[in-house]
Amino acid sequence: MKNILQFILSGLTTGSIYALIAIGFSVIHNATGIVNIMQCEFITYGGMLTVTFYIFSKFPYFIAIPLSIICVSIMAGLFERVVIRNSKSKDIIILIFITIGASIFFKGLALLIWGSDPFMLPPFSGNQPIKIFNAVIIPQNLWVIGISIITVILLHLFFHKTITGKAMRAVANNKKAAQIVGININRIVFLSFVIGGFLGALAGIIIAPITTTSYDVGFMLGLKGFAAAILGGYGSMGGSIIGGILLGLLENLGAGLISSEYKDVIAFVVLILVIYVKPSGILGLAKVERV
Amino acid sequence: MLKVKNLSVKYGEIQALHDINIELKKNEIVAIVGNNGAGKTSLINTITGIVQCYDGEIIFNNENITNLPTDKIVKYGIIQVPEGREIFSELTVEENLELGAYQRFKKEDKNKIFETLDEIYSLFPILKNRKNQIAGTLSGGEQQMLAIGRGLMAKPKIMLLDEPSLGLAPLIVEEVFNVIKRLREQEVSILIVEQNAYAALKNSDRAYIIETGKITMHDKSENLLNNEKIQEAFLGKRRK
Ligand SMILES: Nc1ncnc2c1ncn2[C@@H]1O[C@H](COP(=O)(O)OP(=O)(O)OP(=O)(O)O)[C@@H](O)[C@H]1O
Ligand SMILES: [Mg+2]
Repeated sequence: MKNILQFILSGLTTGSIYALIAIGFSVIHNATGIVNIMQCEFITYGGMLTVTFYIFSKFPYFIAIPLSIICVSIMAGLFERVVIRNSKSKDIIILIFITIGASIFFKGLALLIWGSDPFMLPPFSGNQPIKIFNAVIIPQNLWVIGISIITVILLHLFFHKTITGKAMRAVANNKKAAQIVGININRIVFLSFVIGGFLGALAGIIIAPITTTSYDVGFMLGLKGFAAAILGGYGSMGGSIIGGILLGLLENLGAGLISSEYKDVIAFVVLILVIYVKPSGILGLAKVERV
Repeated sequence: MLKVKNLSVKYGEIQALHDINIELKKNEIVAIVGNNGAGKTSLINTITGIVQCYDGEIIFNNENITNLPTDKIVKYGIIQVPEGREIFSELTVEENLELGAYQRFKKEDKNKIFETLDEIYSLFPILKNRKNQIAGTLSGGEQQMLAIGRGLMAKPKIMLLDEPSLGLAPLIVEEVFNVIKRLREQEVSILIVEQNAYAALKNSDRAYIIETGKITMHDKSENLLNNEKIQEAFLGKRRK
């Protein structure tokens, strides 16, 4: 039991990542009603493009990271403009399948570009562990938690203080009414993909110095982010945050206290239990304000 | 100002509107009266581009606006107040109103929008008291006020009201129509579709009667109010 604090710190770190990914899923779901499996590739491409710009092109982080995030956001926006919007069928199931197909395609492309070896990105600021009581935390954990908190605050301000953010919530709430007040729904859907791309890339980049990154890193992280979104209440920002943190904590406490072999299993067993007891997630979609 | 010419609308095989011709002049209040399923909502939805027309034209100030997407129609100042309110139930009252001015945010000074907001609040003081309340928790009448207020936030030239009296107590209906009549002072032309023939005819200048997708009568509202056929069909009075 001696290192509970340690597990909690690690849990908060991975939990922050899951939360960012979960919000990405939710924002796109709220605008379109689909589950966007391409979210996984946004994570991968965020990390891998940073590898390209930082390791191969030798750009400093403060250029390589924003550049990667911008590239992935554009990629996500283009994916919506070109692939999703031009789909003949607007059937949700078909659209989800298109995102699965695209995800497989982009994963294959990543394998061609970067190969199958994992890459290690250096931490943003040194590797000197910081001691907190009987636990140590590496600076990158603080970067992850800090950047996630700032991102969530900025997103909250965007959704509540700007008219575009309010329009996004309006579309999530009542599409017909949104159309009637003159909101261009296509534009909102496009924007939701750009935000999804932004969040996925950001998550993929800030976690890379801790876990390494490779062509298929997005799949498991994406799945966990998706699980976090369901756990907290799909479609809600508060739910995504709670779901993400909870999943991160469960995983790390489970791995630490029971066995790290069961890390993934524990998380998904809890997820399935929650879904059985409360299908709408912890915060329950209906009652809670969506992103 | 607004002309609908030979308009037909089909949903698959079902034809909901047949060869509709109506006109709305500046500063007029025009009513369209019809029973359930007559095609009233279809007509409004076609004007605002939510439903595509099959044949015919919609002309606004000599411009052809047929089948334009709704956000373009809103740009012309043609605003729908939908049937069954269709407010943003999860957002606050004030956010609902702000979203009514969505397109103005891009081109106008924020202060102007907040001036309109103040005007709406003086028109509907109840909305001001409830401005931070989640809109879905308002009463039916309050939601109708909110839907009208949201429409007005766009500074419309034409407002299309779909059954504003639906589900409201008679006293509230009167209040809603009083507000609608006052909109004339703000240079808003109004088209109301209603099942409540009495309220609609009493509060409008001209009216069309619509039956199973066709306009069957058209006259000054007071004439229609005194017309025996109308009294029998819509006002529940028997012929002597
Ligand atoms: N989306 C749709 N698909 C198929 N048929 C439709 C659709 N919308 C309306 N209709 C049909 O078109 C006809 C006119 O409907 P509409 O909603 O315009 O009537 P309404 O006059 O507004 O009726 P109410 O007073 O009940 O609101 C009805 O027969 C209806 O069943
Ligand atoms: Mg109707």
